[in-house]
Amino acid sequence: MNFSQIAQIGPPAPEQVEVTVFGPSYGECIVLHVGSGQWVIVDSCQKSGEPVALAYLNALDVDVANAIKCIIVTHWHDDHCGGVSRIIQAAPQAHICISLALVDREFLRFAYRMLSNNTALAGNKLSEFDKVMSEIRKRKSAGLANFSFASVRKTIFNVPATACAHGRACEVVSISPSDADILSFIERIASMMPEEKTTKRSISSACPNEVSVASVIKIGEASILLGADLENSGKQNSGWEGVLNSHQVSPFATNASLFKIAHHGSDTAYNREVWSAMVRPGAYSALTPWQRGRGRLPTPDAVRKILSHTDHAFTSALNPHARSRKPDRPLPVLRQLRESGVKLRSIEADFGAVRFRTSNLSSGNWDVEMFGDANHLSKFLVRPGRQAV
Amino acid sequence: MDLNTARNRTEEDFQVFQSQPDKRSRTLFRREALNNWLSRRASAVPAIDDESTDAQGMASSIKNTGVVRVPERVIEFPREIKLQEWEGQVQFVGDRHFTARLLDITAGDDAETEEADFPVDDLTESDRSLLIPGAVFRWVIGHRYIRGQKERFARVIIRKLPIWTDTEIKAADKKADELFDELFPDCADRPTRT
Repeated sequence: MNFSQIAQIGPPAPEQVEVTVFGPSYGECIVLHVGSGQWVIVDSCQKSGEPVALAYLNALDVDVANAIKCIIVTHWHDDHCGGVSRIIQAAPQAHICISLALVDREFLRFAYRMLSNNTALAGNKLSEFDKVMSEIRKRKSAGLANFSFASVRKTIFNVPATACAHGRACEVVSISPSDADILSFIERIASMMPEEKTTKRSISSACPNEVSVASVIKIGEASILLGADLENSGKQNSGWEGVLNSHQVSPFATNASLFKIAHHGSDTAYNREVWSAMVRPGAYSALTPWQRGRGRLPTPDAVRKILSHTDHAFTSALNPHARSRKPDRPLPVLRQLRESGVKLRSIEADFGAVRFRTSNLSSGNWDVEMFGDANHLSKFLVRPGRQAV
Repeated sequence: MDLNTARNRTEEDFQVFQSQPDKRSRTLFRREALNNWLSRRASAVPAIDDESTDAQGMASSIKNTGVVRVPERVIEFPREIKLQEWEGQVQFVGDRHFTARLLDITAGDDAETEEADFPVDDLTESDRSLLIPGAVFRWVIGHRYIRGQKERFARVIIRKLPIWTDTEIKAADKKADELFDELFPDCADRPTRT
């Protein structure tokens, strides 16, 4: 379906649960209806300069100021927090949650040093983080309690069963970062810290991911697993291994019927144990591809691994390995580009979204709709004019 | 003039002697010879005091000052027309190529919308030493006119970025510490930088 038709169906019924995964090839936003007109937003990306979550909810005629109850910023990378400050502004009562690691003194110093670096026109990638921190600071000064810092096994937000038309309580629990994740993140940030008399430079895209806030949305006995950008660490106490370790001691949730696949479906985030211990066999799943530089996610190998667990895997955008769209330029510039041997490509991707809705969460079945460039994940293994490989 | 005649004339005017055994010679001028040579030259070479191209006029304006004025060279600077300009931020540096995200300055964008792989070979040696992830550069494509000829050009110039100063670092840390202390007033995780 065309992306513009996404709101035609209207808002979900009060007893329905909805999860919509938005994502071009750079950026991610998940919009969840947990029941009775209450919405949770996880991360943010923009479409035509507007946060896609706001555009979607406005198109559904939702009263965003009162209906958005919780906003989770899983980590500080610009593909996950583009426009999040505008969502916070539009929903001033909503609970804000960020990773505990992002309020460590070491990271704050790193962030504010980088924020004072105005050498690049494209900005320093931390302006959204700065706005979120300003809002948290304001709330703290005003004595408000509607903000929190996520770490392993922390309840971020809950709604009592009586406040939900489906009659089940809703609880949003963060399952990462672990203490070890936070320490290792701070260590890496310290090694990247701008120091006196060193040359200023912009933040590289290779900054660490490990403090990403993965979460479980529990609605009654059913659950939804949101993997954020959490990756494997190779250590027992951090990354997905840390989550599994903690899960074995006391399960977060078993049999998640919906899984937002972590870190754009990367090989480094794929963990067989997560699929077997926390996700229902054949669960519905979705990922947002990633296409920047030489990094293209997911790889065909990772797609095969995901499809070995479920036939209900979807993607919000086109195959990142497909030929990139060439930018539109005047003829003399194109001629010059051809002669210079520079390969220029657009990184503006068309938007897509996968929407899951259910009136019976315990059944584990979801109605799936795809908009824009969204597709079944198996299409990533099909070359034009060929059968699946 | 044959070689012997030339040598005789030179020896009339100059005293030449061998100063080094390796045949390199030093020449000393005789005062009378030098004066003769200057007067001969002053009468032979016109001094150019004006921009007139008229031979008669020029001959009449010769002033025998002994100073030879060479007409100023007209330096023609190439006229450049920029067709396209980007600011790039280096993301990845390989052996042959580097990858950068690009902000289209010509279009007035405020976010990076393009990406490109550049050959490392196209950079100057000094720019190559600045090529690290996070480096910022300008990439300009256009054409220029030199002596009436139109030619295309493409330039990558890596910016030599400023260094962090102690004042900047202290100001940023002060902001960070104020925020931290406000969020966690009872927490003294590590000593505050002074």
